[in-house]
Order: sequence, then structure tokens, then C-alpha cells
Amino acid sequence: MIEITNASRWYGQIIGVNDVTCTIGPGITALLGMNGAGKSTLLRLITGQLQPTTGDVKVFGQQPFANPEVFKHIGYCPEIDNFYEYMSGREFVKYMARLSGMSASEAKTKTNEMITMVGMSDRADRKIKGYSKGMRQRIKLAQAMVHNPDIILLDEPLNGLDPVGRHEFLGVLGHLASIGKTILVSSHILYEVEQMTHSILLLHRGRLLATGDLGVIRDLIDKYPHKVRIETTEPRKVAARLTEMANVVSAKIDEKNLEIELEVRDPNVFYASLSALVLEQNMPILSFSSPDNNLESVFQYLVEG
Amino acid sequence: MIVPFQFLLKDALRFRKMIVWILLSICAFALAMAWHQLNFGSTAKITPTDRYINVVNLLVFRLLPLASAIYSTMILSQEVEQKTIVYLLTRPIERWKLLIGRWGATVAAVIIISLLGMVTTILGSGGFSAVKISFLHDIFAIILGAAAYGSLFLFVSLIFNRALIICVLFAFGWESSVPNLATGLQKLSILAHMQAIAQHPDSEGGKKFLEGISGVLGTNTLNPTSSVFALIVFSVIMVGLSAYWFTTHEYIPREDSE
Repeated sequence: MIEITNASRWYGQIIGVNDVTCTIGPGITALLGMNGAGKSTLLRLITGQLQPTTGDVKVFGQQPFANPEVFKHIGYCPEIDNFYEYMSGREFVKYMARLSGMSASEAKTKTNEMITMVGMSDRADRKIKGYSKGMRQRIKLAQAMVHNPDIILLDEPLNGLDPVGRHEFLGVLGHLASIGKTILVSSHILYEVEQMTHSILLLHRGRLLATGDLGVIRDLIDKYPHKVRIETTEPRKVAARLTEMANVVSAKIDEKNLEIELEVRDPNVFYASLSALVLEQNMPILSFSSPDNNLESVFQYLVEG
Repeated sequence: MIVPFQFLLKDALRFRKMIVWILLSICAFALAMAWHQLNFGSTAKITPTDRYINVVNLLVFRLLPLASAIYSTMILSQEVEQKTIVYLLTRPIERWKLLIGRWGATVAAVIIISLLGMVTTILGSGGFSAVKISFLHDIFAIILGAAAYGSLFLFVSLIFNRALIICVLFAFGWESSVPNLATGLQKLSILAHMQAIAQHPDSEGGKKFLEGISGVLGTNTLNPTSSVFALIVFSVIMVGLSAYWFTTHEYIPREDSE
């Protein structure tokens, strides 16, 4: 559906996307990368707002730049939080439906359907200027889907949504994927992406660093020792017990004598063992966290090894 | 093309956007009412027709390019500034249709504003029966003037970032000075063509005053038929160029392009 071949995009002297090649098909694919990685540029190339400086971007075999035939198949939910503030949410979605070529009655019906789907039925007639961030996100999603596109591109769609809203939103995405839609979601939050899909495109400084299953990338990362921080009331006793475990490489107690920082291999196995240790041997562990479990660390592992 | 036209026209005619033009129309009414009292040192009798011609030339024809400059920025510049351009450019509608529909809406809005000013001026001058002039010529001049200014300012707004400044400079700088330069340069002024189409007779009372503040109402040597043709051709060419430019160039929200 979406084919990108050696696509690069320069903004003057700055490169937005650098020699990216990938294919995106049905289901949910996450476009993962830190801020400034080139996610929005890639989405703009796919949605035909920008033309690649070199290389090729094709959607359903056609170049998307200023191509209405392609836009019939694309629904785009941009990252921006700007609207026609004087309109109500319903008027805005209807306007987008009308611009997509629907008759007034068809647009009205589809608008009502989408408004219901995003859970905005009771608030859709209020002016957008009075909407919360979450309500704005929902209206953006409704306008992206109002013309029933095959491909839905969502740029940081979970920004501003509360936990309930996120849960509902992920439910909607899951439903759309199950009926064969191609969904490309950009995010800079690894945890957020893991909740949506395991199929990812990892962008870093404009380059496509890795593609495929998130599990494979996790396995790749797991080759290297992970940092795990454990808060405990008895650090020496706990550290001594933990270093007996086969996958613990090193242990270091902090100066305040409150935390242990471990380096472990195969973190999933370690976490399972840690749970057993706490339950069976009543180890005094107050909390644990993984400072590596963020995108920056993922990139560090992949780039620097 | 109809949908972008309808939605932008509805936006352009919102009360908040119209309030200034309504106030200016009231000013035109008041000025027409008071014109014979101002007198400007003329001893000639000032007829309702004189009052109408002077006020229409001073206010309505003069403010039309300003309205056009302001409304032309709604077509695209405002969308780029507000970043809402993203929604428009990712819809399955040809860019040229989107642009021409929106251009049509702004031209219609400017015509409505100008006609409002024209009607209040007529009323202030003594009413439709008192003003002995062919209103159709003025309406035609306003329509063609709005189309010509709109198409020029549209093209400018597609090319330059701060288009409104350029358009206002054109409206008040170029249009005031060029028609008064050497003979023949009147052809380069949209306002001069509008006045040729309107075919207003020479009026008394205020002519000196108007000449003093603008000078543009000096002898107009343009042929009305040629002026009609010139404004139509000019509008078509500028809109065509704009449509081509808009279809082949990228338009993304301002800060994202930097």
C-alpha cells in the first residue's frame, strides 16, 4: 500500500528524512522516534504535503503529492492542535466530509457516525475553542476517518488523552486494524507503542534504523546488559542475593544506601526470577525500575551497541 | 469548487468580520448626507448625483482594494499561518478547485461589502430616484474590480510570506500614484479601469478636494470596453497562474517550513 524507496527530504541545509526505504501494509505499524527524528516529515511525504528531494514515495502505486486520487484512500490526523475555532466539532468534521466529495446528507450521516465512534456525541455541537486537548484529539481522529479511508496516518495521536481516552482510542485503532485498514501511528513513547502494535519503523535522525517486530528489536537490545534499579531497605543483603542469579552481571549500591543498580542480561527472565524471589524469600524490595526502558536507551543500544 | 466557496463565504460574512465594513458603510452614508454642507469652496449647486459620485469614488472604490487585500489573505495565507492548511491539502479535492472556490468566495465577499457601501451612499445622497446615474455600470465596475484585485492579491499571497503588506502598499501606493504619472500609465491601474467602466460624469463640489487628496480622479482617458476586457483577461491570467503555482508548490504550516 505504501512504498517508500530511498526517499530523502532536505529543508535547505537540514535533512528531515535520509534515504528511507520501507513498505507499509495492513494492520497497525508504529513510527517510533525521538522528537526531530523525521516522523512528521515522513508522514508529510506519505500524505503528499511534501515531495521527496530524492527517491520515491508511492501510495497505492501513485505519487501522493497534490494527488486527490491518493487522498481518497488516506485519512490524516496531524500533530498540530489548530482548528477553525469558531466552528463546532460537528461542523468541522462535516466540512471535511464535504471537502472529500460527499453530498450534504451523506456528509451529515458519516459525520454523526464518526462523532459517535470517537465518543463525542454529547459535545460535538459546542464550539471547538472550548474543547479540551482530549476532545480536540477525538475530533481530529473523526475528521481523518470520515471519508472511510483505507490508510489512516496518525501523528502523535495519544498526546493529551487521559487514560480512559487512551484506552478507548486504542480500542478504536484495534477495531480499524481488524477490518483491514492500514494504520501508521507516530510516537516518541516506547511504552505507548507497545500497547498498540509490535510492528515498528524505528527512525533516528532521519534514518530508518530498524523495521519489523518490536520483539525482535527488544531481543536485539537484550543482547546487551540492561540497567535495573531496585529500591530496598536492606541493599547489601538484597544485592548479595541478587548477584547469585545467573543473569546478573554487576551490582552497585548507591551512596545513600537506598538503591541498588544492577546490570542484567535477558531482563524478562530476570524480572520473572525477581518476582519469585520477592514472593518466596520475602526479600524487602520496595520498588524497581528500568532506566533503560525508554527510546533514548533503545537508540543507544542500536546505534552504539 | 462549490464546497470551498460556500464554507469560506460563510466565514467571510461572519458578523465579527463584517462589523468594520458595516461601520464604514455607515460612514459613507453620513459623508453622502453631509457632502453638500462641506461644499469645498464651490459655488455650484451640488446635486444628489454629485454627492454620490464623490463619495463612491472617495470611499467605496478606494476601500475595495483594501477589503480585497484583507480577504485575499483568507484564501491561503491565513490557513498557512493558522496551520489549518494541513486539513485542506490532505482532502481528495484538486488543489486548483480548492483555490478557485476560495478565491470566488473572497471576491463575492468583497462585492457584497462594496455593494453595501454603494447602497448606503445612494441612500445618503438622497435615494435611488434622486441619483441620476446608471448603477449597473458601478455594479459592473465593482464586480470586475473585486475580481481583478482578488486575483492579483491571491497570486501575491501565494508567493510572498507577508503578502498583506505588499497588497496594501499596492492598493494605496501604486493605485494612487501610477494613474497620475505619464499618459498611458493609467492602463496599469485597476482603479483607473474601474472608473472607466463606471463612466461617472464630471461632478461639481468636492472635485478639487478629491484631486487634492488622491489626484486619481483627473481625466480618465481609458475606453470602457477596453477596460472591461483588460480586467477580465487580467483576472483570468492571474487566477490561472495562481492555480498552477498552488498545484506545483508545497504549502505547509509556517513554523514547520523554517
